[in-house]
Amino acid sequence: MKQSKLVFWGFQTPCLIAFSLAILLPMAMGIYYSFTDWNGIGSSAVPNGLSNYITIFTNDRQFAYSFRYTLVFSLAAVLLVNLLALGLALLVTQKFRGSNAFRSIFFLPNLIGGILVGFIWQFIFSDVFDGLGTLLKIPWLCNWLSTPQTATAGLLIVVVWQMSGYMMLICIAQIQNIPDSLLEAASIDGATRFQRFWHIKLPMLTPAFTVGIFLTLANCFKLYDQNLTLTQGGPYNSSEMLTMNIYNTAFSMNKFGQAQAKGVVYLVVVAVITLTQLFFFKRREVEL
Amino acid sequence: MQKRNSLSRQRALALTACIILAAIFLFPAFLLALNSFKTLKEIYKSVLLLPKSLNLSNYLQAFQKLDYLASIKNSLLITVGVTACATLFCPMAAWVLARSKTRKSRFLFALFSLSILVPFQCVMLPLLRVMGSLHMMNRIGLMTINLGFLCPMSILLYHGFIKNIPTDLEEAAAIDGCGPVRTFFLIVLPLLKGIGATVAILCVMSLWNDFLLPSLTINKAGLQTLPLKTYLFFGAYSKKWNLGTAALVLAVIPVVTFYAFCQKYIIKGVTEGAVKG
Amino acid sequence: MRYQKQICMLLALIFAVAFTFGCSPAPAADTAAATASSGTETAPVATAAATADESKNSGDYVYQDLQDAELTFYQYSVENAEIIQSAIDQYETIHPNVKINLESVGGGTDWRTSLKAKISSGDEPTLIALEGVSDFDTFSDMLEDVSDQPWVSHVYDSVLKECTIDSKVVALPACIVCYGLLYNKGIFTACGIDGETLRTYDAIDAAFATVQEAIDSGKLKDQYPDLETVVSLPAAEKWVLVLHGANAALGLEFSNGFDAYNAKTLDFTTAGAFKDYIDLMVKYSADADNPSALNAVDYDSAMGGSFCIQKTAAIQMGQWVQPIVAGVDETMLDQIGVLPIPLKGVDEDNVCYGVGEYFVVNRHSTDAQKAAAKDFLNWFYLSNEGKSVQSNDLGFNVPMDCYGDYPVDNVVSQACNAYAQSGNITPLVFGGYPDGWQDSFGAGIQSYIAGEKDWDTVIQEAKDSWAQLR
Repeated sequence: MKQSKLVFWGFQTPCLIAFSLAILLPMAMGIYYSFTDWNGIGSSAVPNGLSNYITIFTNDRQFAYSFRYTLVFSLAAVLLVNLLALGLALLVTQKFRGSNAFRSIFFLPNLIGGILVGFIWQFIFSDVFDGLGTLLKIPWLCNWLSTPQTATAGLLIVVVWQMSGYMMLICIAQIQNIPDSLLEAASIDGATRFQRFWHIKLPMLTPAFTVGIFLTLANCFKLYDQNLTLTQGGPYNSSEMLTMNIYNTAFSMNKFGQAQAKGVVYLVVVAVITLTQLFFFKRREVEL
Repeated sequence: MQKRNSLSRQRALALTACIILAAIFLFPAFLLALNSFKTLKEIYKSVLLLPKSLNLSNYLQAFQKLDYLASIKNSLLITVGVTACATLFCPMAAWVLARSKTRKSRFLFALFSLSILVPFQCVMLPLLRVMGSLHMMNRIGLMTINLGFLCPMSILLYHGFIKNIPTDLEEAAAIDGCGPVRTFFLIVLPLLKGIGATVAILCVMSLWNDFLLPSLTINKAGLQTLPLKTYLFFGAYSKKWNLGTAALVLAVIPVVTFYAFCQKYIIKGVTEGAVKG
Repeated sequence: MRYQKQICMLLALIFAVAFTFGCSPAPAADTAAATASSGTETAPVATAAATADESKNSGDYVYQDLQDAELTFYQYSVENAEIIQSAIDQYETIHPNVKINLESVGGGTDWRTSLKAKISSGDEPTLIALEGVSDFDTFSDMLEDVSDQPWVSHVYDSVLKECTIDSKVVALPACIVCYGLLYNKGIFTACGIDGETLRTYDAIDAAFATVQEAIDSGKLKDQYPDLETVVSLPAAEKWVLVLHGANAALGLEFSNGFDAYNAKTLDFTTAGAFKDYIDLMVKYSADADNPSALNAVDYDSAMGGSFCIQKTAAIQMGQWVQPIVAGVDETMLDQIGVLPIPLKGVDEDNVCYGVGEYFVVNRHSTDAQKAAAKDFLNWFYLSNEGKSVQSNDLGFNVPMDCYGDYPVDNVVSQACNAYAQSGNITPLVFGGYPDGWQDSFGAGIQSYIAGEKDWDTVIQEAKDSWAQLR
């Protein structure tokens, strides 16, 4: 018993130390600051009770808007990313020559990271979309990012482009785990291709979606870089997502305490959502 | 005979769809590469037109201004160092978490999992206060913190995988008198190669492109990584797109090479269990 | 049950540590105090050694010996990083025992955020670039009194006021920022217009109309094949609309940044004229028929992708565009002229002109670091080598009386200096905007341009948010 305890903590220590320093401790300090009026710079942080929380709930329309916007956006992104990932996975698991190369291509956007991705896409929306729109006389292709709708759509496109490759890999893995014999048996019994997909493949893919949806949700809620470079929250703050709202409160308005209060609220809500999702999907998983 | 026909038609269809989709997926990367051969004026006139002449001067300039070899060395040091630590320490933690079914271990695992949701910008200021007071504003400090940020995701992936390895082997080893340390290193770790490759590529991706934290901690001559140098082309009032695109292509090449190198393992790794998280 | 107790204890421990970190004063102050005391101990040695080597004097700079020091110079203009680094290299050959590490932050990150983060970590830079009054307040804890520095006597009185808090000079005015409506002389001349004569709203309106007609008739097609429309308006950039644009109006309401900073409320008597100006810009932009499209036009596409390649003929910008114009097309530089920002019926022939960047020395640094930083600033602004870097390499318009032999090498600055000589300038007051006001008012103007809100609502909201953010 003694020894196993030693092993437990011994094996845990390196990660636990790094993790505590990077996330746990700063997060705890952040929670403390959310009850103060700290401005992010000076050394004076006077506790002010719940007033930050009261302010963000009663007197901050942009926060409420960003919260709703982020929730809706994430929902849409989760659907699109996972559907596209599933589609891609089904395509590249058809056994044709070169399917491996396509896997790499679909995964490539993951490798080009950082803030510059947003800049490249800005070129695409402003030049390529405009050019195509004028050429083919399709008005809705012009002037992307200038209205709340097109700005949101633009963000969605970039997110889907960037995230679906990884989710595709997860789906591929799960598809390959489905025993061929099962599908063969079904087709001998006269199941159509659609029936095989709907009744066999899809249920067996649930574990992939458990992880896939969790990761997409987490990444969408944390979205900041693409939001900043692509739309800067515009036009007129209509695409300002939650992380950007928190960031602006902390750094351009110098209200760090209030920003931390928003962070705490955000974390609680997102934790509840993702835990519900995990619970719901876990129950439906088919054991292999 | 008919069945085979429909099968080949199905494959042809899939191939066509793949080619179209791949073209769309590759388009931004293509645009990036295309513009890296143009002059600034050509880029501003149109990002789509082909360059008038295939000149490499952007690359030469970018190579020099990036201090490419030195920067790549700095980037490699951090990326390789942290990835190595993550692929050693995280499976250790994940293994004991997966094997011990106590409340404490479940609590710790939940803590790790939930931390995936914490956006960096939210903890930035307190984090820097912690780093400053522990004298961690240097390369070692940066690497430690990077490891901390990569832990949750990596542990989650390893945990999902380890849960599904039968315990027979480990029990047999224990009966043979193998201690937990030896069991882990001789028996468990070798089984984790595939998932290890997956974790490694995830770590490499986020470390290689990381900008914000390095810019706050090691933005000093001699320590700068590739992204830090690349951003010098993007000023508030003048963006040198011609050099910036070339620099980005230069920066992407090593990761793409790495990915191509371990692609086989990555697919295998995901296959073997990442999905069972 | 047992584990629950342990978990509670673990949590308690984490929180206890967090609170100790959270409550303890910034660690920087401790270390700064500690090193400062060690600095004073060695100070006498330095004074003894301070026998000036006169051969190292240059221009108005007087050489003095310094103690060994290593310091960080933090600034936000990455486009100037190389030039400043070369100046530092020059300085270090005169003072080999001083090491200055240049940190340039920009490109996608907000420099103020990075600076706050650095302060939070205790790793505070010694020499820092700031933008104005609001920054002086935000970073007030760090400002060193530099009243005794040699450069102070060279700064113009009107400018020195903007660097003074409680009768102490706390910042060196690094350069004059000036902006107006830049226009392409070649295109205007081709339409038979002499830009020099355009000094009223109606004249500018009429001139823009003439140019637009010429474009539509295809008359300019041969000479300017890419020319599409008169004005570029990057409405996606809130700094163009609010920081600079609204300053043209508010600069008439407040006399300087401090004035704006101290204003609890905003009258905005010039709001009507500001609306006319925005309308003018929208009317002659590429998206006059569908103004909401302007909200997607960013600085890069308006400047590099339009004005620089002669796709448009006018844009509201300032002296900072010289490097980008030169990068795209060196010959364009001679073509740039400056029109006033016309505020109809209020002040129609002014450009905006004032100090836009300051250098401050951090009070928390050690004495040796502070002495070196101050000496570097003296050298950078008073020595012949420094002056040459300022005027020729950086193109900085330095508000000091000792730059007679070093005229600024910047077309926009030269044009704006002519306005300044005739007194046709609006002061810069944007440094005194409340934190976060640019964001809210910018969103307001964007929704006015898109037709989502009417002007009166936007202005009322701007006033409300000014009062609320104060």
